[in-house]
Amino acid sequence: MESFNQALLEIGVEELPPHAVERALDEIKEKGKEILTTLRIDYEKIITWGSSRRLILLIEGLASQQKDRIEKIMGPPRKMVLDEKGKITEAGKKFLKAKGIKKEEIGIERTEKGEYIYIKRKKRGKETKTLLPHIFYQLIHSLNFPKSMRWEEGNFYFGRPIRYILALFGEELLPFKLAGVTSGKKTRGHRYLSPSTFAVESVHKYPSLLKKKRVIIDPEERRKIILSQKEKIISSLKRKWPRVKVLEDKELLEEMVYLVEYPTLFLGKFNPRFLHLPSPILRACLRDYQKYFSMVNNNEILPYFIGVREGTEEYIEEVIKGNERVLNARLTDAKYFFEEDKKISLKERVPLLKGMMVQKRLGNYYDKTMRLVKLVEKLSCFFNKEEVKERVKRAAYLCKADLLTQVVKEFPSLEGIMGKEYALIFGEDERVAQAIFEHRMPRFHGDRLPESIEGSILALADKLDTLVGSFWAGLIPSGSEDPWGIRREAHGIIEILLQREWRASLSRLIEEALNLYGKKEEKEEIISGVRELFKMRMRGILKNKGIKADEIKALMKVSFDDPVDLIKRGESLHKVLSQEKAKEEVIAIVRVLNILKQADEWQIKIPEEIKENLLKDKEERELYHLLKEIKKEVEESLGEQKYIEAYRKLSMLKESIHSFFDKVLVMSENKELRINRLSLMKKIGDLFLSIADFTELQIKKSGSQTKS
Amino acid sequence: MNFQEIILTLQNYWKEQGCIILHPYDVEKGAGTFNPATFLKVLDPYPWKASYVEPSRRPTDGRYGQNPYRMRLHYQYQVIIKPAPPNIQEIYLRSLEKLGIELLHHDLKFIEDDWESPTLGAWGLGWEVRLDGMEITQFTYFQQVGGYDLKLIPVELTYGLERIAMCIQKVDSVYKLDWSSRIKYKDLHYEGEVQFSRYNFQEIEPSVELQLFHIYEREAERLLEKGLFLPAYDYVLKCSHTFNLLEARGILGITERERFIKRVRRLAKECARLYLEYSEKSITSRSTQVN
Repeated sequence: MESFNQALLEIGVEELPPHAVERALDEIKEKGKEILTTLRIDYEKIITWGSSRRLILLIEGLASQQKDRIEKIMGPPRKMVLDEKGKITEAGKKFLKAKGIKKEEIGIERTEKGEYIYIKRKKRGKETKTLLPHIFYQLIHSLNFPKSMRWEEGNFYFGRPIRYILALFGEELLPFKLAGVTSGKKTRGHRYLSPSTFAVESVHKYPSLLKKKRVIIDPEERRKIILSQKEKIISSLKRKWPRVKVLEDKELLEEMVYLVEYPTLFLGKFNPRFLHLPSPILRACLRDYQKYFSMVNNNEILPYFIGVREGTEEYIEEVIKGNERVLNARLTDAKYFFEEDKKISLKERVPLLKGMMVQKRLGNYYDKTMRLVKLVEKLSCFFNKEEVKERVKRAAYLCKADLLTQVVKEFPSLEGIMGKEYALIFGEDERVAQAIFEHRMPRFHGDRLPESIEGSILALADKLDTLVGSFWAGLIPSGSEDPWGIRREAHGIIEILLQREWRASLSRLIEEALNLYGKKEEKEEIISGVRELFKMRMRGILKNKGIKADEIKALMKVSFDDPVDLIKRGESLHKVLSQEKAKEEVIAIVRVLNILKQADEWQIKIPEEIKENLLKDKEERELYHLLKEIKKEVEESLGEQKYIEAYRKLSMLKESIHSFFDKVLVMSENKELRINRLSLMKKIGDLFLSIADFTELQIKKSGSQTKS
Repeated sequence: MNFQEIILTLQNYWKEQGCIILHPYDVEKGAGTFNPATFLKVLDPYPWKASYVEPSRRPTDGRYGQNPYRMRLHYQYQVIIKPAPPNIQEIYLRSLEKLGIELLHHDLKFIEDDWESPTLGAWGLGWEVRLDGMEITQFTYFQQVGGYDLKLIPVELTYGLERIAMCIQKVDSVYKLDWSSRIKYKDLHYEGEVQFSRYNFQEIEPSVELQLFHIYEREAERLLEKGLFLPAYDYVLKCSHTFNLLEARGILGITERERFIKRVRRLAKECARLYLEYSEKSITSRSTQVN
């Protein structure tokens, strides 16, 4: 079969966000392979290229035809067509004739209902060329974007508007229509260097043609260009600064690689007087806003920057001047703020927080500060040292003050970060400054967590106060809405507790925070509302760990008040339940727990003590002695949160439990015996209940254990 | 090209593109999007092409005239076209050329910038256009306005006139711009920046503005109840501006801020709803008349 066919798809778009391009190209490749495989079309290689203005798919070594396929069509039962010796029956002959087939073209398949005849029908593969338009159509349809939009009347969704589609098979056009665009043989050159549209005669001419039109389609090539130009610029600076290097910034590099189609790097400078600005401010201006690479010499930032231009070196001087003007203006702004800010120390700002409302019902930031100072003290269960306490209290007192600074008003992302800078300028302890820096972490999902103890405690307190306060003021998230970011605060609290492995009672934490808000009648309601948020989060975390829904229910039924413990119980439970023997064990445990439930329903009071003399039957005596033997060790394991160990020991009771239930009647007519047997059950049940409520597990009739 | 010539050039250019040339809507606002010619007109499913200059007041951006390009009042040139033409990017780039910006002499980039106005219950996807690192235009395909998914997708172009002028005139401060051949931008606007900055940051009486916010809010509600969405919308704008003043004065925390925004949004959404109702009715009655 000839195999040098090439097919090409270019989706011409208005500038997609660079990060979306990288993702989309991966997706095109994967889905392209998938579709071709499903359709039984052979190919040698799939290549993707692209930039923010185009997504390109090239398929090489494409078979001209789809592979043939044998289709099975089910017919009548075997015995109608063939007799026992395999000969065609009379009815069979009629069947073959009616279908117009020979004996060789039928087969036999065993089904649940017995043996059946099927007809083998060879389906000839279609021409690839005729299938490709639909394949491309389907491919474009299947792409996903982090954010997508509509732009035309057909209400098609894509990352940005599609403006043309180039679709070729060798030299032939692959016609299809999508989102109001008809595929064609035309593409576009570089937006500024070669802005016209032009026809592509054949796939193999495409790459060189685009190069001529000043578009570098291969991201890898653009990356190399950017890196080598960077090297060139660096070596030109080496004479003056022998140890100069560009600050590694992979994220920015990739952004430039996918944003620009013809990259040219340039070196600009800014007034060295701005070097006195704290590095977070410089970074915010140079990198976050202007998207420049920075350079350092012996770890000191140099008053230079590297920018990436879309285009050639022509008129680059004008480009550099423009960029320098903008950057200097931005830095002037930042410096002005910073100098203004330095006129008042953080400490002096704290009382001024009275003028800044958190929310009408929640009072101002000064009130919040006072609550934080008290709350961190209540959290002293997490640390014993007096000096830590003093530092956290100091940090709590100062942490909100940077909200009043101009730099933070201008760059809200620097909240806390500037707090640290100002704290250091005004001579605060470095660890206090660090805690201020960390007190808003994690700011968003996946953000860094506080690293210092002081920072972790303050972050916990800050989040608790916001969370509980919001409920207290009736600002409760509903449905998927979370306008005040309250869920995020709850998530942050759990993340910090888990990372620090701090054992805590969420209810107690909530209560401590709530007490600082003064009296409120609906105290219980608020506590349970906040607990519910935590519960949802914990459920999510357990689920992400692969723990099944019924296991989660069983764990939470016991308690979710201590996240660290809950995770330990969860991981252990999941592990022991994934073993084959677990099913029998769980059945035994559930027998115990069920009888206790029944007793509970009948409101039978079960005493703690088991009276040995009342253990009449052999089986109950055996169970009792075995329990006595392991009980202490089990309790020790439970105390140390070694739940697997505890479970393993407990499950040694399995056989005895089963024989106990098989032979002994718990609900005996004799009240004394009945109560005593229930006491025995309760001892065992309680031990299991320190891990999970096993009655919540779903045991499959066959197979090992549970369903999710 | 001086400042007023830039405006005239853009007006001429967009007139040639079929836009009607409107004038600023005379209630304070933070952006041209708040003009009813954008906020209300994009809601209905009928074509619309308009452009206008809009003085935009952002009290928090005041810098006492000390910052080279930040002011509490700047001029936007707003273009709103529904449905968005397929070659709108090229049309836009040609407008820059009309302003004397040689594309090959500069670095021009379309940088992802997803626009959202929580106050208007609106969002869209698009870019900020950067010329040699300076943001000169906001380019947005609206998706939702007033909480409604739009049937016909409009494109909004918002030129930052001072910034474009700074690039064209190659100056590093707005105050050095030539407004006309004889008058500088500074002559017209410097004192205003100084006085309003002082007013916004120091002299605003919070209790007065809070009271005004409540009054405007109630008026908007009262008028909405009577179905008078146009006068009601004026009060929504006033609420929004009052909120901006309160924010500049620095008395709103994050949570409180959210709550005020939510209150304005509720009113804006109600205006949008009534406008849509009205536009449906007026179209039906027009078509019955023709029949």
